[in-house]
Amino acid sequence: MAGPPTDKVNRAFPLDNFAINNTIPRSTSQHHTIRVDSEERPLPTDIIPLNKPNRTTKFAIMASRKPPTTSRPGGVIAAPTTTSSGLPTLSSDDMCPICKTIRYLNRDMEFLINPECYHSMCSACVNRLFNDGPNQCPYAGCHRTLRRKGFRSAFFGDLSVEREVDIRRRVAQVFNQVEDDFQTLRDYNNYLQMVEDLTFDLVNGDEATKRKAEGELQAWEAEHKTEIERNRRAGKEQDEQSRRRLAAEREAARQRRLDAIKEAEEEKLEKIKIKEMEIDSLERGGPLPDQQRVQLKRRGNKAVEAAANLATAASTTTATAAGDGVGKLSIRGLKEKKKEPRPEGPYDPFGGLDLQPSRYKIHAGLKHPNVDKYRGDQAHVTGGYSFEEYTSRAMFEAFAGLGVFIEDEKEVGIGLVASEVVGMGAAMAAVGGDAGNRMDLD
Amino acid sequence: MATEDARYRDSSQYRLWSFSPTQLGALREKTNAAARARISERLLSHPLPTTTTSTSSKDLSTPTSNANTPDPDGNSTPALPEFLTPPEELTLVGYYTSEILRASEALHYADEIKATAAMFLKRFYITNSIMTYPPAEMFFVALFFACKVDTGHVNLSEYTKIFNKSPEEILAGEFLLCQGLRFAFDVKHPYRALRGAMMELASFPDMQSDLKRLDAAEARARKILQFSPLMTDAYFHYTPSQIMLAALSLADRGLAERLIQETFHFVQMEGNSADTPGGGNNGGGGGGGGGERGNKNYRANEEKAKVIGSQIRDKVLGTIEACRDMLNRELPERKEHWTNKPFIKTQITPLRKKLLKCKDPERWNLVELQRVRREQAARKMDSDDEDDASGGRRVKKEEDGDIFGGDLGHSAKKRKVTMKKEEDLFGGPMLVKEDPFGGAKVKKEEDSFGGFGGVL
Amino acid sequence: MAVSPLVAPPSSLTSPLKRQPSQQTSSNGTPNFGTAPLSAAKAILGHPQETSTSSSTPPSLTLDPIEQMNELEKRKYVKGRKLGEGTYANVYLGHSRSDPSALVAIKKIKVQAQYNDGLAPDAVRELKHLQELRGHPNIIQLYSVFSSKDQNLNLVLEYLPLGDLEMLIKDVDRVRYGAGDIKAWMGMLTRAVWFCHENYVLHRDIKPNNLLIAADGEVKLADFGLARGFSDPGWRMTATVITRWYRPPELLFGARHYSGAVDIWSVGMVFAELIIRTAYLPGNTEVEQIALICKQIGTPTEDNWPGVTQLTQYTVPSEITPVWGKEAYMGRFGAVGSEGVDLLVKTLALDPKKRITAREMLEHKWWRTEPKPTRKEDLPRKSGGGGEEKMGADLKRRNGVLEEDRGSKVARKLDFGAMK
Repeated sequence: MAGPPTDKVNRAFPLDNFAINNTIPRSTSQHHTIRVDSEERPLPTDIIPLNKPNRTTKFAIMASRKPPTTSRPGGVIAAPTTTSSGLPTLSSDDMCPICKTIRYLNRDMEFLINPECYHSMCSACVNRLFNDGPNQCPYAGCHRTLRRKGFRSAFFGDLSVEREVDIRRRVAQVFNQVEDDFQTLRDYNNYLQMVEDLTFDLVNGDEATKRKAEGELQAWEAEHKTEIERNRRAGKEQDEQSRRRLAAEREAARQRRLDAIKEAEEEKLEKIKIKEMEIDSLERGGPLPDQQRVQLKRRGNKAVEAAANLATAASTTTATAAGDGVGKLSIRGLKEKKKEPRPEGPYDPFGGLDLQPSRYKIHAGLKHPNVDKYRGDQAHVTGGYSFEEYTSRAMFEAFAGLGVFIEDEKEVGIGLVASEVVGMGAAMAAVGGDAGNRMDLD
Repeated sequence: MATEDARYRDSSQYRLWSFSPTQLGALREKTNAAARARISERLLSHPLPTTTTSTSSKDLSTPTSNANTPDPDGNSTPALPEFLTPPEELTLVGYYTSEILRASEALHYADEIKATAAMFLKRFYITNSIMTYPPAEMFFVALFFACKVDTGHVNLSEYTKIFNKSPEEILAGEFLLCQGLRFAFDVKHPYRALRGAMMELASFPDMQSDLKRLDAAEARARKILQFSPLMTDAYFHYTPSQIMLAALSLADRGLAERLIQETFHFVQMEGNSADTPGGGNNGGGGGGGGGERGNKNYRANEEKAKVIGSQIRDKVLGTIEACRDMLNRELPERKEHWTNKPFIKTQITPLRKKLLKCKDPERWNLVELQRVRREQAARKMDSDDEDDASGGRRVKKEEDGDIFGGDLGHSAKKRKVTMKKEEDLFGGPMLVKEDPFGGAKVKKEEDSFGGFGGVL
Repeated sequence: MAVSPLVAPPSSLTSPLKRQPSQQTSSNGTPNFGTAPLSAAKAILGHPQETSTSSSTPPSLTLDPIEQMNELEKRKYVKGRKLGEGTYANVYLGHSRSDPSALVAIKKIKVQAQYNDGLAPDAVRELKHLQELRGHPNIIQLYSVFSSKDQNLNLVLEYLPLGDLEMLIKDVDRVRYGAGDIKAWMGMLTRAVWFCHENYVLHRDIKPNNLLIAADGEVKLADFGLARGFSDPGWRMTATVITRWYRPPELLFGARHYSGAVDIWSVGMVFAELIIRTAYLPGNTEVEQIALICKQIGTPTEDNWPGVTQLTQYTVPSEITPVWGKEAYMGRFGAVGSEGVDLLVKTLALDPKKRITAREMLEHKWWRTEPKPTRKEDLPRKSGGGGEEKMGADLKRRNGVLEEDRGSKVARKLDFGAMK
């Protein structure tokens, strides 16, 4: 391990980040080939002392999940263990589980949590343990490496709520697609369902589920970095942009004496904007159980606004050029928006191709004596000859092109084929007429 | 749109080799006209006596009387022969097509190969006039190449033994053929389609008792497919499935209609799923619209109607009927007609004689043509590279010139190079040098070939 | 309901035809005069250089219409530098004359070289199948064909500058990739094979260096020189196809009636190779290949593959290895997860009848489990170039032959005697 342990170390393993290498002996088991960072050296134990100076007491945790067996230097003490399902709740007369200081003795005592594990401890302990750099969470059984700057005071008394809030916020940041990004409502709903499932796993799952979900989240984040960033920026800049656009639009409108129409447009946009802001604020600070609903709402509104914005943008540009009407343009804007490349929906292994026949079905009853006589033939059977392949081909050929009407299509032309033929003829005519002029190429 | 149709439209057969009758007719006229014009010009610019001395080909061994053909206009300019008309060309192509079928039958080739060979020949003579390239030669080339395409290969020496041809004679036309086929070698036939149709028919419950009828119909339809569509223009105007159904209809109209009725049927435009299971055949779309309701279902059905609805059924029926009429003109019984001695004597022989008089003097001898082409190529070697070569390249050529030029000089001295030697000459430098000639050598080459243009 | 999926999607940089829509349908080697009036053509034909040559040349053969078409088609492209040179074919970089930014690869097949029976069967097969397998994003596109003066065939192919999968697999030091990347590549490969099989074509030479990579990261199956249509019942095919390391047991045992399952085995071999980054079963001879299969996958016996002992060339090592279960693969191939290994094992069924089909592969759960397939743009690519040269080398190669540095040459004996 060179360098300080990164954040990554104590997160669950991003599944798509491991290195695959043929230098690894065949016998090595899977978890040796999967590594959190790009280190190649297999690590024999789960605990490796860092060889950085001044940090003799720091530990980094590697791939194994074995619980620590003994107490370690550096202030790890026996501490209340928590079940995987529940987190301790803070109460006013709590005592710090680490240093056992009770509020009675220190009225200013502040409990801090770190969203890595949500184990609370007093600020004194945090300073003591983490001021020198990252360290392991002092709770027994918790192997998270925590940093000083990660600590904050909890907003909710119930830490599980606090945690869920954080998780949802994080998930929402990553999965910030809006309905308009999807081709169909169904895709969008599937997407929402997936996000909710993932969130649920992160919140309520057991260790393995959590880890898996976390990996998925990270994978998604890594894979869709640009889209996420785009969506995020779109959301952030929206207010400012619409304000600017509105101003520009107002100006253009005045110039073109289309005030009445413009004002109506502005009003509409303003409304949407306000609504958007309300919803945004709701989302940022709002209570969590509503989050999903709010997001849903917001997405819908954002789509409207995006369309409106585009329409406005279009109208400002075309207004200066041609002084066109505004109402029509908003429709066009919507269409253009639809044409924009969208973030991919769920992965389709078939690449969007459907080659299912539409006029016939392949079924077991399709037989022919000249085919069946080979069904028992050893050479066909053993060699893997596929009678299904033959049947589907014969059926395809029997029905393919039945609805292709060459004369019509070639005369009228579906697409450009007819022109090709005509072109060929024309060329020949030209050649014929040109016969006197040789075209020597040599 | 039905995927089956969309996929057929992607085939080279549809893209490149399907025409409306008008288009096909126009194409043939154009080809014929172009050939006339070019042959006239060539005959006028190359006095014929030279031609006869230049070649050993048996095609040209009978001294052509072109020069002596009575000039209809009574001009003093060198006389032009009477050219074949487009219908005459077509008759001759038909004759050679029947010869291909006869030959491949004698050799027990598979249906696909026979049909591919026939279609190769027919396709080739759409953009090439029969007056330009000798059909009697191209016929072997087409058969040989069809074997190659369909089975991967045929042993050339065996093939040449069967037909008593030299390998050069076969190979000389191969590239020409490929070019004439627009480098699309896949021909889609209706034979497997017939098998599919019979499978479908046999799967109808009520047909189980009537298997004899199916067998008879299949046998007859196959026989028709082995001849009629190849002797007509069916392949250019209809799809294999349509041709197959037309043949089936000629064999047993009831069966063909039954199949069409089962495939296309009334699609309810409202309400619940319109799949009316009849014979287990319909609605292949998979009855997709299950849970959807109302509007969506309507649209799905509308889409379905376009694929299997009654309107398209009527159009399919009409198309098949037209195809049936076409096939009906060349039923297998006409096979005898094409070998009938009086017919050949009165129809074909005069055309062949006429053809020999109006053939293209530069192109007719394929072997010679091939040889000249190769020599030109050798001279120009990789003209493509040269076209786009930068200055730097040119320097390199100069260096390479020696070796290559030497070779060429050698070959030029031996005017009557054999094919074998030529290949060496051609292959040798190609392998060693990427750009094997310099300007000076080209000139030398040209000098040594100076007489060739006249010779041809 | 039914889509019309086969229309070629406009590919971003490659298609020189895109800008001239009326030519799109003619990408077969014959031009279409719709947009190219003959006068323009003549201007091209009367290239200064050409004229100077022709003026000093005695009168020679006039061009036929079909030849003029060919000439026009040829003039649409400008041949650039050579990317690869072989005895069978040369590969050049090229671009559209009308749009120099539209790059293509021009594979010039030396018709006469090394083959006395005319046009080489490889070239015939490749042309035959590429003309029909159009419009799929994972199959190399054939834009045009034309002949050059020396009667060589020129195939204008999609330009695939990022090398091939073999290059990425081998460059262990510089190229790192993970399960999401493997899934993306496998998806593209499987779709390509599925499309071939849906069009009733067996590829018969699937291997990493026939999987070329486009500028946008899309993997394209290339080299159809050994491809053929599915055979009808009763028709024998040759067993000596597919490069040895990727050859399935039924072919090693001399089966003459086989199916798409032969390609699936190759796909499985590529899958395994992607994971372990070295050829999975690199046998030096056919005997060794069979031995490797027996050892690593299991010995084919009458129990797991009824009738196998009757295949003409059935010989297996005397020591019988039972067929390994999925668990046995988890250690070495676990990187793709349990579902991935499940899919791998299904491609490696000894009995071809029990092997998964391409369609079934695409229906497998693996594609829907995490991690998601990497977007093609984000797939690892080899830095430092060399891709073009690799493409050149790949395209010029004869089929079914291992690179010399990867193993000894396969005796290339194709049996064409099936014709009757």
